[in-house]
Amino acid sequence: MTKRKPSSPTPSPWQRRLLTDLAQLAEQHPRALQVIGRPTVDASGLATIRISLHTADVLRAEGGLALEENEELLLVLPSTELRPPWVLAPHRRFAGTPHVLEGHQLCIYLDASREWDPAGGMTAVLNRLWQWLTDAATNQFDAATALYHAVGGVLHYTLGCPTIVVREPGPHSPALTGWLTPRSEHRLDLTRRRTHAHSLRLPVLTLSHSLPYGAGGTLADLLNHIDDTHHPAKSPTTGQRGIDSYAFLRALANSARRNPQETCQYFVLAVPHRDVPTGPPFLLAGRLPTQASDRLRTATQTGTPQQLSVLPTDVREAGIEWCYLSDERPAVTTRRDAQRPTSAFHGARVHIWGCGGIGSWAAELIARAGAAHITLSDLGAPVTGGLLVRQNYDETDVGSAKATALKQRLEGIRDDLTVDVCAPPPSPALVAATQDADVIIDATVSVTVGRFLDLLAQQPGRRAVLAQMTTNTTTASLGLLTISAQDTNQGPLAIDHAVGRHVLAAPELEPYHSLWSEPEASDEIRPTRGCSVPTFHGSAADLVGVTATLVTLLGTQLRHPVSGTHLCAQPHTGVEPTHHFVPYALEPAGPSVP
Amino acid sequence: MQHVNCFTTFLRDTVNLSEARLSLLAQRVEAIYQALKANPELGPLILGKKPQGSWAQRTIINPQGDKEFDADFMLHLQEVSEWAQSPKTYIDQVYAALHRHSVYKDMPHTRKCRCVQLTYANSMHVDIVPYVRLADGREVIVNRDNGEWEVTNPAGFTAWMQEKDAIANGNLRKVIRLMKYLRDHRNSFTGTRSIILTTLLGERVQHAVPLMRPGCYGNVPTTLLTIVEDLDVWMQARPVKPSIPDPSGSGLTFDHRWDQTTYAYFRARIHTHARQIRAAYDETDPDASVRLWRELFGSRFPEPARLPASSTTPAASPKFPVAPLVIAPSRRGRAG
Repeated sequence: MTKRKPSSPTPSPWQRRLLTDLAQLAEQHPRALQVIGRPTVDASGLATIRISLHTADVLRAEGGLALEENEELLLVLPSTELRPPWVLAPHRRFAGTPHVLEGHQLCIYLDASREWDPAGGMTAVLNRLWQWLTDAATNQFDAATALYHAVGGVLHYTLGCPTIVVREPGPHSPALTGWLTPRSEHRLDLTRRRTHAHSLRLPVLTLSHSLPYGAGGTLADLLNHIDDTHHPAKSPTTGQRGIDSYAFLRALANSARRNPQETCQYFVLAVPHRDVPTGPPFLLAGRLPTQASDRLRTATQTGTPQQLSVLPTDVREAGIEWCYLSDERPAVTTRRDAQRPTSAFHGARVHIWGCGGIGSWAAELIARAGAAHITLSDLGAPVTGGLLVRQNYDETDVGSAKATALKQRLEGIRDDLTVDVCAPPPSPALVAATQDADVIIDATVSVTVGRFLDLLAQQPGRRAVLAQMTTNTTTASLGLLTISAQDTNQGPLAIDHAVGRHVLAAPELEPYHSLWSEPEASDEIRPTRGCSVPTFHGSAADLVGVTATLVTLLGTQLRHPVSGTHLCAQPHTGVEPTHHFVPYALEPAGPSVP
Repeated sequence: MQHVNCFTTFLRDTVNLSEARLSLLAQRVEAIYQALKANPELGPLILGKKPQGSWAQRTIINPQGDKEFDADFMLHLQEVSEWAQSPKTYIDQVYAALHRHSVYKDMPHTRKCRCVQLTYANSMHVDIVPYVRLADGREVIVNRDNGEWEVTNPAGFTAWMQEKDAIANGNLRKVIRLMKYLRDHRNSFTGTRSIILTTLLGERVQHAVPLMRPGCYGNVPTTLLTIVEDLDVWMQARPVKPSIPDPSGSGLTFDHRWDQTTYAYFRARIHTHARQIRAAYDETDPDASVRLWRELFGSRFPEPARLPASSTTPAASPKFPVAPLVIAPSRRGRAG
């Protein structure tokens, strides 16, 4: 009886279609494309086929990838069309080139979800590959934007590991000690100084070269990569100061010995980009699991390890857990709102008076816009449950003073924001506010506060722009922003009064007339039986929408403020014009009452 | 121009049945109900009551001049097997109960096709509509003329109205009142019954409309414009009287409540009103616009409140006049 040999996996229908297309293309373009050999299908269902592309005619440019006359490549075809094929180089000549992953995979689809369309079939794949080769040879790739380029072009991340947040610049020396402070179960902050009793010590080490093949999966792998036994011969970064595996091991052991038992031993490697060696290095963060960390502590208690071979096997072969690193260093981070109008608030000192439907959201939006210092004050009652449907508070805030609760919220948004609470206006303590702040926003709808701002507007040489923000009572979908620029000695109230007369006389602005009219009884709502003060209609969506528009309009003006009033309407109101600015012109002197 | 405040005032002061009269109505209905409950023969059969018609739908308006305003209420009665062959007995029994009552016997009271009508001296009558929930689950009222049951679903109609009114941000009921005002006080499209008018206007209100025309139900004048123009388009496409199904889902239609002549007249009037409303709405001169609205609704449509030149506060004369150089601000139309 003979034993039957297990049958080899065969290509899936999708793979057969791609292979058929490939064969037809090779037949149609024998000079440009050759298929070498037969496809193989591995146990996981991936089909691999070797091809040769005639690349002698591809344009070359200085610094580009050096292509040979013909390039042999491997096409790897998934069994379904849900994932795009990928391309491997069967050699290491491409290692270190931008958009080459772990030394040999060509990253022809940066974002497969948007760039891969199975309908294009094999022709589209080959065209994409050809474009990649052309761009590489003509040096079109921007290595500076290839995020993981320094570490083989791939994300090093182990599921479940915490994220390490880095905001301090550097590192500026080959070896230093850093500290990790837990902020939550999922977050650790890296600093150069110890900030908490539970901070963990870790080495932050700079390599002399990139890691084109990645950093490996075990401690032994990593140390071998650090010593660069396979590094591409031509490396512009060669000669930079950096540590070797011995220095890494010593620093890791030193940190481990000083950290408590049963804690993971972390490390951060600063890896220079091969093609942008003068730029900030890529930061790679990893850790040894607790058990391996404890073994390292024990094994090195009597002496510093000289080399990998002296380590116990279970430490040497311990798998490294890679952490996601949120790199927020100024040198590598561009704010996503840098070009938006709200960037005018960046670094600003802002007073926000009134922490209700408008003020509470305005404060959050301005905090996120990067204000340096926010001063809050509020006239009213504490947070109650009914307010949660439209104001920026939550259940834990009920019973707290609004300004105090909002301060806490804003402080949770940004570490580098200073928030304080001051006495409600009008208060003598606020007289100096026009000199301290860049902008004062009145969101109180209080006539008294308006009067107070009018007085402050007359302060000689005042620095602050004065602004008032309100919405309408029936829908909270119309917005009104009045600005008193530094060169105007009238406050928002006086400007509002003059603008109101203009608006009421303008039929085309009729939808905005209600902002200067007494509300009808039905325009307001009594949300609770026995509630003596009627309030306005509006949802959180209305208030966030209208406040966001008002904050953006204020941001637009803040750099070169012009006194006047912005009127705006949310799109679902159907109100036209959706935005209208009425500049403030000084009224002629004399009595205004006939 | 829209003149939203004028519409608010017009509805409040002219169109709407006053709160005092609504309250009086409720009191009287309750008194009638208690009287019927106290009747030894009918009382034990009474299971409850609920408002019906324009009173229930909050589309009731002030009557014209000395004309009566009315309210309907449904009187829920237990099914009596002995009366199965003669449904009109339910109406007769309600009539008899009133006829024997010490107070109501001296007030005019008559039997109508579907109700017993009780008339008060001061321009008001109440229609008492007996209804029965039959053993098979059908909710029925009596058609006395034909001696038959008629299926009804007042709860379904109320639910339909609430849904449509919510889509129109609460403005549908106000538009219906305005259109009833045109009919009753301006003698436009006489002959079109309220139930048909309500149904035709309400059916024009659709979820998809504000998606395509944002703000089209944003306030009363805009909702009036939207619904009447949409109704005009719908009717212009139908020269022949269409079938009007009961939106409550009873399966009945209101077709028998008007004829081709009435329909054609109504269709022409709506066409005219749509143009009038559009003209008044689009007119940018405030005075001219008010004139156009008054051409439509009559002289009781109010003039806009004139604000003093130096102030945005209401024009009431203060006892101690404000110094002329002081700006008197008002921020009551604002919120934050």
